[in-house]
Amino acid sequence: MTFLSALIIVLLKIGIIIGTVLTSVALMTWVERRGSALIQDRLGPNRVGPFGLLQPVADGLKFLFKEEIIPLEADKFIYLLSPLLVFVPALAIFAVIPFGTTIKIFGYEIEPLISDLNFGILYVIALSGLSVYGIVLAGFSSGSKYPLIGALRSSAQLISYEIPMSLSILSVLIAADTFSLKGIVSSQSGTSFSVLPNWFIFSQFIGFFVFLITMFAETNRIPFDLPEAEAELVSGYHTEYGSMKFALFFLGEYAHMISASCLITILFLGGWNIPYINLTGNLGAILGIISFSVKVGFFLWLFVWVRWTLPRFRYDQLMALGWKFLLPLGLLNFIITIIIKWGII
Amino acid sequence: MIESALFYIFLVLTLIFGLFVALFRSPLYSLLSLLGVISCLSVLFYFYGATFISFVQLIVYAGGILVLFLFVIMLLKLEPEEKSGEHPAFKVLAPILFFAFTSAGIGILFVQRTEIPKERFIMPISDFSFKLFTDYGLPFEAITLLLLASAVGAFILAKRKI
Repeated sequence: MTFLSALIIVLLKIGIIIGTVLTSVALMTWVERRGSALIQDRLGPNRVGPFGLLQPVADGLKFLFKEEIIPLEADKFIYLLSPLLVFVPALAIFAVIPFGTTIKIFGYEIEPLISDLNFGILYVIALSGLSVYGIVLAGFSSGSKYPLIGALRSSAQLISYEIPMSLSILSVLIAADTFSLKGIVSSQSGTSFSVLPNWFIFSQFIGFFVFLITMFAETNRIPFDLPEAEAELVSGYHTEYGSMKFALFFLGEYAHMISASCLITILFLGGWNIPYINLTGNLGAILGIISFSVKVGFFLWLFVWVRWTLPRFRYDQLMALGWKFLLPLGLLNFIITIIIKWGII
Repeated sequence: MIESALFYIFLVLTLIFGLFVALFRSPLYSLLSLLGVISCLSVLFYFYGATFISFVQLIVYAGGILVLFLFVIMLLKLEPEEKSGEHPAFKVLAPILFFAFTSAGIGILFVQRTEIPKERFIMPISDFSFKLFTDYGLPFEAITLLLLASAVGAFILAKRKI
């Protein structure tokens, strides 16, 4: 493969993956509104296009044409920078996420992932750590009290829940013996005792539980959406943001949700693996991508489902859950994993 | 070719951000520049093949320590520094020291002439951790003791004030 063709393939992959992610973000806003309507026995947006499917396009146009307002008290540079600091890390995570096995097109062997980084999981942890900045700076630079309180809450929450998240990821790393996301998926192929699929959701059940809850907290979704609790804080750290700048926060949140679902699928549900079926060749690759999308789709629906079912936590309850319940549970799971892995007993 | 060009771009960026850290009067902008320095450093580490260190740099410094700094700036509402408090001697000393240190740094660079390695060698994580806990076991433990000591010290300092 020459340098030029390799470059073209990588650029194409980046284009396709970013396009897919942004389309699914648009679709998710539609699913969220129609889903909430379904749960509350209403109709939801159904006027624009068939089933209201073009509603996200209309929303996007509305955001683009809104007046650009920058508050007088705001620090202009940081105020304009922070939506980007939220949006870019959320999108950059998709650089290492593997969507399936190798496909052969026109004699080229193409892997459906942008970069098979050796330390993929470290990259993911680093980026999720960086996503705090956008939120904190947004709240701080707006020069208003509600965003400031929202930003403080959000950063405290993100930092507290990052610890149990890392602990549950560590247990998976020990079980899988690799840092690469592709390696983690391939270590979950096949079955154990020829009945159960080899997925970590079974062997790492506590880890899965902890990771799922921390993902809800990391994406600022109900029941952990205290940073934007409308009843107390207007809408938290993006109160002072309007037009496309608000849309970037919105897109970032949904992109974060999709990447979280992809991570849960990769770490605990065997990625593109289908139980009892050995995926080979082009057909296998396509089936793998479909299986990956179905699993991701389920978790995305779970995010919507939980949001319109549960109420919001109080702030002390949130912190108690993180530090007094999830952290010990994560540690316990970590120790159990080590003991089982190396048979210390 | 592209790699070495990128390497030098990030090298220059690191220096520029480093200057900004010192030059900005607003602590918030200094902190953002420091974030830039750390991110660029992690890219430079990556070019040298130290992949693990490059990510740990981002996770620990950018994701942990700088967020704490940001908290301090936010909660104490640190205002940009005033010009008036400077001693007149600093106005003479500061440029001299600055040029002395930068010329010394550039001189060292010219003498040593480090180049980016042609073939990047990435150490597998298992080898890395094996080395860390065998060959470098004692320094590693010493550093953990140092960190523990500073944590205890901070605790006692905070306690005395209350």
